[in-house]
Amino acid sequence: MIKMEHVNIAYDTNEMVLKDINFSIKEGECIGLIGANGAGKSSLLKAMLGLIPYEGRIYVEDSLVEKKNLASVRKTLGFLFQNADEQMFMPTVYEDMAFGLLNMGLNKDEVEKRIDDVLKELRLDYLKKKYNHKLSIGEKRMAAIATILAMQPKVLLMDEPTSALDPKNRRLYIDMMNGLKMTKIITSHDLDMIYSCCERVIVLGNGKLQADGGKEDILRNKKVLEENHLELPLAFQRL
Amino acid sequence: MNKAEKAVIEIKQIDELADGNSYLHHISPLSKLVVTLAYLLFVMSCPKYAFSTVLLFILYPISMYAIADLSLWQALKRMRFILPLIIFVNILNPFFDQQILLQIGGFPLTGGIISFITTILKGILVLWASYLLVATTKMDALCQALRQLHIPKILVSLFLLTYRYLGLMMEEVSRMSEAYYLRAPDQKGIHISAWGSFLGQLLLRSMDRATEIFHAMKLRGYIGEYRLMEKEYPPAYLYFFGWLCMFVLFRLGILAEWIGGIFL
Repeated sequence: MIKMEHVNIAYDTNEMVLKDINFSIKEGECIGLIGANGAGKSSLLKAMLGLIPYEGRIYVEDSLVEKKNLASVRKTLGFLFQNADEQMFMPTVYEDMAFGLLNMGLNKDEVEKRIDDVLKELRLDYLKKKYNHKLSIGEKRMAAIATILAMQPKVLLMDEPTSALDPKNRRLYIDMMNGLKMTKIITSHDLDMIYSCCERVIVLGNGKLQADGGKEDILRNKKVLEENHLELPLAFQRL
Repeated sequence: MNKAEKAVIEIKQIDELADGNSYLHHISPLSKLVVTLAYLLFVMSCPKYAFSTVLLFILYPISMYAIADLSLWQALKRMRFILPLIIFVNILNPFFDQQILLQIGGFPLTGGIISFITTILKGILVLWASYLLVATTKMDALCQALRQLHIPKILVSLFLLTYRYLGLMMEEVSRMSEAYYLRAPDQKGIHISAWGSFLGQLLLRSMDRATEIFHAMKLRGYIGEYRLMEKEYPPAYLYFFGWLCMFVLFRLGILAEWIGGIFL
């Protein structure tokens, strides 16, 4: 589904953020992408979407991520921003959800149907006519995911989805993510959430891919986590 | 709540007002836009001494504000930053134009005073009409109407994005000034020595946020043109032709003369 071959990402010629990244993701997998602040997690997601330049090759469904393929790549990938305020730029949730669908060329009835279906599926019908600036952070996060799902992407990329959520909203959010049967890549420092949602974990650190394996192997490996400025998930620390 | 925060809320409240449910909210945006443009044109074209002619134009905002359930006073309050500018531009009229045009109860009214009052009234009417348009029409619908008038796509997109980014920039102003006042509790405003770095930071932060939003838009298929939901509006012939005819009558002074004739 997604393949990275010798990917390098640099913000300028002197500062290499990520060097020689290689991995592939199969359809239906849920990947946790973890690492310290500035490890390049968000940059890697943005490179997949063609938002920032990179060297090497990134394939999304066999299409190379390059200018001529961006439209199809971006239809396949749905990206959830770290800050929901940046995702929700229209006045209401409904208008925000309609924005992407209208750009896809859908007519009014199809747009209405898709919005209603997604909101119903996520049990967020009550948010439909609400103004974005009146939503709580939790509601905004939920609405942001609805705007992406309405476009029916095959892969969902989520950048720190549970940051700034209170425990109840975090739990709701995790349940919602687990209910989504699609390929997912989640970046986070919330390792308990990564453990709840993902089967496979990739660790980035010092500009390189430091580890790639099953969640049990990585998230219980204190040495690997600490070498990369991370800690064991809280659930394992108590044991 | 600081001033910038209040300004952000006021901008967002306009979006909410535009989502109202009155007769005026359901009229085609194109009709409202054309009527408003005609109104502005007719009001601005009135001669500087034609106070009674300009005064008649007040009927449009008074009646339409009542229909749309809006408050004229609230509208004036929201435009409080523009009114001093209008007054300032015309403040010298009474000093330069001393020609006495009218006597009211033995009090001489000079051309300068009349033109001063007329121009301020014109300014208020223009602001009321513009506010009425944005408070009863969603920004997207307004842009759709602009496209129907064949305003270039790029200009319309620019207008819409500026509107969206304005709120964003004000949010940054609000955050930064809050952080500033928390560390300078005794100060009333931002000290002049901090203006340079404040503005520089504001620009950088706004650009960062604007870039993120632009990315969010691109990822949802935005390729330089806003696609808007097509909505059908009931015909509003009475509103459209009725007001255009009234404006012509107001402007020609026919009604002003007729009303004046009643009192003379």
